[in-house]
Amino acid sequence: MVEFKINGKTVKAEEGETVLEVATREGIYIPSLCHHEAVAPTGACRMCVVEAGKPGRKKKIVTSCTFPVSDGLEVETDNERVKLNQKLVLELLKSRAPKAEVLDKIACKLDIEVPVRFEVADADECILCGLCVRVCDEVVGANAITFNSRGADTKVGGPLMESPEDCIGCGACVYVCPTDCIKMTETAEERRIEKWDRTLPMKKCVECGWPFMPNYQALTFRKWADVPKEFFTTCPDCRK
Amino acid sequence: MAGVNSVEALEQLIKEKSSTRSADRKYISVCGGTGCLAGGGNAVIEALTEELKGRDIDIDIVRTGCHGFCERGPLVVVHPEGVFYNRVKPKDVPDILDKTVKEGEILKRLLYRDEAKSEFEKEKDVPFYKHQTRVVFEMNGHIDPEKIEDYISMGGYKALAKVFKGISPDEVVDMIIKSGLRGRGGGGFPTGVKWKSTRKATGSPKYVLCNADEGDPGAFMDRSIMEGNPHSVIEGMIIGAWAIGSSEGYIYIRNEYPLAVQRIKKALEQARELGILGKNIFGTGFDFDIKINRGGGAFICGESTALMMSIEGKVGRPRPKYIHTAESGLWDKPTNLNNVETWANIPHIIAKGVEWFTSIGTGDVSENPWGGSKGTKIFSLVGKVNNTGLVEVPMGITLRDIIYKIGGGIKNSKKGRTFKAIQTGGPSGGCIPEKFLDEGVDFDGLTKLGSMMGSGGMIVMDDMTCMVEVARYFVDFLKDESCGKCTPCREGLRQMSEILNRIVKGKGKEGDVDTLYELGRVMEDSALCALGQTAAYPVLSTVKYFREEYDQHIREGYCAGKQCTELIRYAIDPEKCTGCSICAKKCPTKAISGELKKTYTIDQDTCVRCGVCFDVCNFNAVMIPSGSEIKEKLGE
Repeated sequence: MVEFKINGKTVKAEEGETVLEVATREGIYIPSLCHHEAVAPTGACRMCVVEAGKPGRKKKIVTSCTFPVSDGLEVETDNERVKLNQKLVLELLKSRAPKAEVLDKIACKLDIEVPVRFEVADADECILCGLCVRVCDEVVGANAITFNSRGADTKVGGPLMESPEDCIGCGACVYVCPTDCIKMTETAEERRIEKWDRTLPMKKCVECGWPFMPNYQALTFRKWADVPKEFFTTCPDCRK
Repeated sequence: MAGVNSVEALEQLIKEKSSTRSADRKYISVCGGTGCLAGGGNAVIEALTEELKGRDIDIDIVRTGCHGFCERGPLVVVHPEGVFYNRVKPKDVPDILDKTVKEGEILKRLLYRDEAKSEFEKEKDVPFYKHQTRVVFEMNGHIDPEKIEDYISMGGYKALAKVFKGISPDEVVDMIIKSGLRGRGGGGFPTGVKWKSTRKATGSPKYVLCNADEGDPGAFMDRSIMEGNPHSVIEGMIIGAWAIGSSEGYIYIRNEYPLAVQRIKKALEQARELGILGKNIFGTGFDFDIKINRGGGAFICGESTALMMSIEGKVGRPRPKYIHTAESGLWDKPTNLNNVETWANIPHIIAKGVEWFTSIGTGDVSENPWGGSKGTKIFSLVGKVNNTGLVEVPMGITLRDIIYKIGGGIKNSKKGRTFKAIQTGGPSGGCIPEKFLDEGVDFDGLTKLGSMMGSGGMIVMDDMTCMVEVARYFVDFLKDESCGKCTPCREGLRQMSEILNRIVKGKGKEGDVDTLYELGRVMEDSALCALGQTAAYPVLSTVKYFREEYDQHIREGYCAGKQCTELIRYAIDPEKCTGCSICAKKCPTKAISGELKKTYTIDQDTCVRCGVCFDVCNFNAVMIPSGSEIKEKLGE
């Protein structure tokens, strides 16, 4: 067990826990975008910054999603310095995703008025947080999408921005995207993820005929997962 | 070379080889570094070899690595006298052999002359070398980098023998801590402290890595060490591995350095043959070998964690380092990464002792390795100085001494050019103005001035340099090289670039400088890695020391450095123009017209503002009005 201070309040935590985990448990709001409990923290979006340090030492701005707690640590989540960093990160992200509601919600919760000084460029509403890439790799195991190019030109997509052959169309990326910029459409025959330019034929439930899963997903999961055969032939409703 | 299987045999070999290198050994050292090769060095080496065949002269020709004075290449030094010839061409070779080597005659036409036309015969007297302290570069001009026996003959692998003979790993770590050696790659972290953490960390195997992904524009010291003395890096790494308890090493070299890759590869093979790399070295039970990993050229892969990701075969993006790489680095194992120059310092410290090392440099490191900067540092001195090249100087030397004593002062000072700023530390370094030229150069001193040591880039700028343009250049470089992972760096640099590109075009707005400043502060605070945290330094330091230039661009459309093409014109001063026509002949767009011996004029619509006319005019007749001067001079 370690004991440390967060916004002046002394709290106890397990060794190895991150500041964000403890703060969330303590009911202290820290905004985050690229964090998701299903994947390893990466510290990309810098939305969850806090000021942390030991007494008598220079305090640093760190990302709470990756920063481990330790005895005697002092953390501040909402002082002026933190607010300045949060405000600019929000402003910068809005120049990439001007329509993303999640950014407005964070600004509202933090009671920050975000200035609009920057030119919006190539606004596809993607803030490059990388959650889709990490979920596809760490949770699904398909590792179908990646970061292409670098710097401000970074784009998420299949390798070399081609339609990713390894994408099984599971839709996990759609589910985790914080700005909802990955859209999925479905007909009785096909599922399409526009952003990846990937279209996959659907498998129909042997009982009711409902297209419940892309063929390729069924095929792939069958190799990986030790589950009853019906899982791949019958929709969840009919399986009950 | 035949292998050795014990420390004693290695010591014997060192003794044998050292005896072959007496002070009166006759040899011609020809620089085979990349700079000299680009200047035609290969043809000189070939001519020497060919011409020697038909002559009865007993002298060796040694194709060495970089001598550092690249500005004057190809370089040839005749030993033992140390006669220094610069800008040598193949046609000079017969004279060098027949006159200098045979008869001791000095060929005046090949001697180095400084700006004041003084001549220098000996290499050691040339100001460029005279004021340097060459430790890491000591052997560069004397050994053939492809011959391990050359390295051994000058004391190479002596430190390794000393370690195997009876310095325990803990003692080695302690020596490096006490020496105060700090990382030469940019961070300036005490090397010994890093070694100690990795030694203490649990996990197996442990890795030692060499960061040879040198990427700062204009910096090439690591390249020259690897090309000129690859065994010094390998010796350093073996000693480091011994101290840390590592069995596997990697050298991460950017593949744009083909010669360095080739030399390191050859040196590794030789070291394996000798028996100092491999399994159970000298029966001590210590296994160690080194692999080469070639980098694809991304600047970010010089960052420690991005480099490790790249070795692992993943996209080279940095990770947070709240858990140090000493504990969890390459493949989540304890990992120690040092830069090429740092590794190359290790054998010297072990062989010559801690006291010798701490006698060079600044501060007091006896209690605390952060207490100063010890040893030497290699800088790549480029820009508007007379002598450009690689210079190795003791820590604490003043910027003025580097620029004026070694660098020979500002280029074209006779034409009125004066010093304006020096940019240190690579693309994310800061620009230091004249008032700080007498400050000592060391890790903490440069940081205090808002710049940094970085890997040792030094770009000298004269009065015809626009500081806003300098900031724009480096920000654009970093914008393209940012990995794109974290928001402040990726988006911050994009916005900084937009603003700076606007300002240099004369389209800046009031408040732009404040926005730049705010962006810079937040990037420094919250970017993920050192690249992003320091990326704003060129902007922050130029705003701090040259704020008026930003304001002039924004408010008056005036560029003091006369570099921003949209804010300047080129015009010919009728009072000074002699009508020599050279400008008209050199103008690439034929924008200059006139009659011989009468005044020439420039057509503004055709002029692309390349500045050739200004450079070639011998009468100072080309004016560069900017801002309100344009109306005054041209009536526009």
